[in-house]
Amino acid sequence: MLDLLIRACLFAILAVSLNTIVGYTGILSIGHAAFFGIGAYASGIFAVKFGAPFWVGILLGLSISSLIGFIIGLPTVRLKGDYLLIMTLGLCEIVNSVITNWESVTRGSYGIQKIPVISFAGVNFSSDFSQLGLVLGCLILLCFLSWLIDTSQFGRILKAIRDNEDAAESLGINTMKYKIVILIFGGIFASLAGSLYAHYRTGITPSQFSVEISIWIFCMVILGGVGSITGCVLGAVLLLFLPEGLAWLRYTEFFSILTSIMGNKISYHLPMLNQMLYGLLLIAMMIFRPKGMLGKVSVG
Amino acid sequence: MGILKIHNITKNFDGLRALDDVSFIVEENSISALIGPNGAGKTTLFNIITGFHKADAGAVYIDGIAVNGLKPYQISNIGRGVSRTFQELKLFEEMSVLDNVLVAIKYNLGHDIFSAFFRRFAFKREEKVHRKKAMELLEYVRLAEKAEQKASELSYGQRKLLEITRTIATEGKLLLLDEPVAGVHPKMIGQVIGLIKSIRDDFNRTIFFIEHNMDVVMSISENIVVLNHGEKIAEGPPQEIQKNSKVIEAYLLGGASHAA
Repeated sequence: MLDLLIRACLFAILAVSLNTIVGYTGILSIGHAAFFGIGAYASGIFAVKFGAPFWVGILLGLSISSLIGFIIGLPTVRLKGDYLLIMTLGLCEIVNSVITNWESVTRGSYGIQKIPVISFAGVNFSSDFSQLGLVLGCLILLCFLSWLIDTSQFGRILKAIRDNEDAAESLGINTMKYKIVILIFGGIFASLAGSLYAHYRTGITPSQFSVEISIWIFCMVILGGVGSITGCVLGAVLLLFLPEGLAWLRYTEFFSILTSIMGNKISYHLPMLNQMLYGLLLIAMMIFRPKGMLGKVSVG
Repeated sequence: MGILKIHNITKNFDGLRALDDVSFIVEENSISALIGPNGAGKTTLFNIITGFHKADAGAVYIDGIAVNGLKPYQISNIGRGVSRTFQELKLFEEMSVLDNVLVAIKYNLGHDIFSAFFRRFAFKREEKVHRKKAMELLEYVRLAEKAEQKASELSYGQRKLLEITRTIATEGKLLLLDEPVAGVHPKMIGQVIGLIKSIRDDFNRTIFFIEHNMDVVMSISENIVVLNHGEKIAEGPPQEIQKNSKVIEAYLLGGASHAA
């Protein structure tokens, strides 16, 4: 249960940070797992190969993510909507290819194992409780900053860019600058989530940072509510608890009825049931609540 | 020397000449109109002035400063400022009417991410002043009661008014309005005309607008520039333009080609 909560917090960090990019600024991105992976691998590599303290990896992850946020921010002036989506997809694939194939550094698909847990000022974050405190702290910080953005003139300008970029430009707003800043901000927090994830799980492999994960984070935002901080947290929690709920189904009366109807094979298909349920949930959402559970705007 | 000077502007789109060596001056504090049949190059010229398109040749001067090659946001801040509306209405649809105006107001502090984090209280103080100012502007255009509604919920005419209000809020001295009464309910046209005049008088702005409604053009403009097929064919006060044979011909032929 604690493990689930910790992961829910980590993914909530990813969803809320993606929301500043998608929800506030209207930059459709399915490349968020790239920043997540960069943070995780920067931390993993530095802690395991060089025995560096945890903050070195975190800072390095943040720097690389900022740089990448800056670089992908540049073409966003010309790229809009679907094209932007494809570019961010490309970014995610590139990062994933690098961590899969740069074997001398990342150990390829074996991934990096035995990453030490974070210890700081004599406190060792080895218990799940302390881990939960740590990720929850980061999540609360992000939500607070996100709220500050939401209620400032900076946030108002981001939303103006989301609603109509040409109009924003015509009012004297350097839209590229704002987009780059928010891509860096979102990237930094995704990278931080990656670092925390690496130190928490103590083992990481490239598949944990694939495009599917990006899309999953994107779904959390859409499902929870574009533009809403609480909505995104809710979306993350829901999408993480859903498969667990399905696994729990196995032990219920309902499941024995199901097996009696459909035979024993149903247990093999349970993960697929998961995917089907996601699909159904998303379609239902699009029909009945296109703005997500707590959303303020519809995107796309 | 005029607040806006168009100097030998030429623009081609894939070999099609959209603007051909166009030159004129818009005088400060005037209400000037840019007219011409469909496809004459009016909006293209607006786009060139505001930096959304690049001219192939020639120069645009705003407050005596050449703006060629600058980006739209830079041009908006040049000299004493320029602001425009769009033919197809570009509002911040998901935002409230009040927020639409507040985006346009120039904040002295508090519009980057660090001030969002660290200058919260200074921002709140400044915001109070701006909110009051924005509400006054909305009252001025009779949209105050709609302040908290989403921009997308307004009627078409109100949306046009909101877009104009946004240009006033920028404090820019030169306002470019692209078809301010097109699609507006006939009952509301009078209000828009009155507004354009009073903006000039009360806020000390120069207004340069594109319009197809000739009654509106003739009743409020002091100077009219006429384009046809990308060329300037006439310029002068309304009485002269109405009698100008070239203009009459252009409109008649334009009308004929539309009928055909």
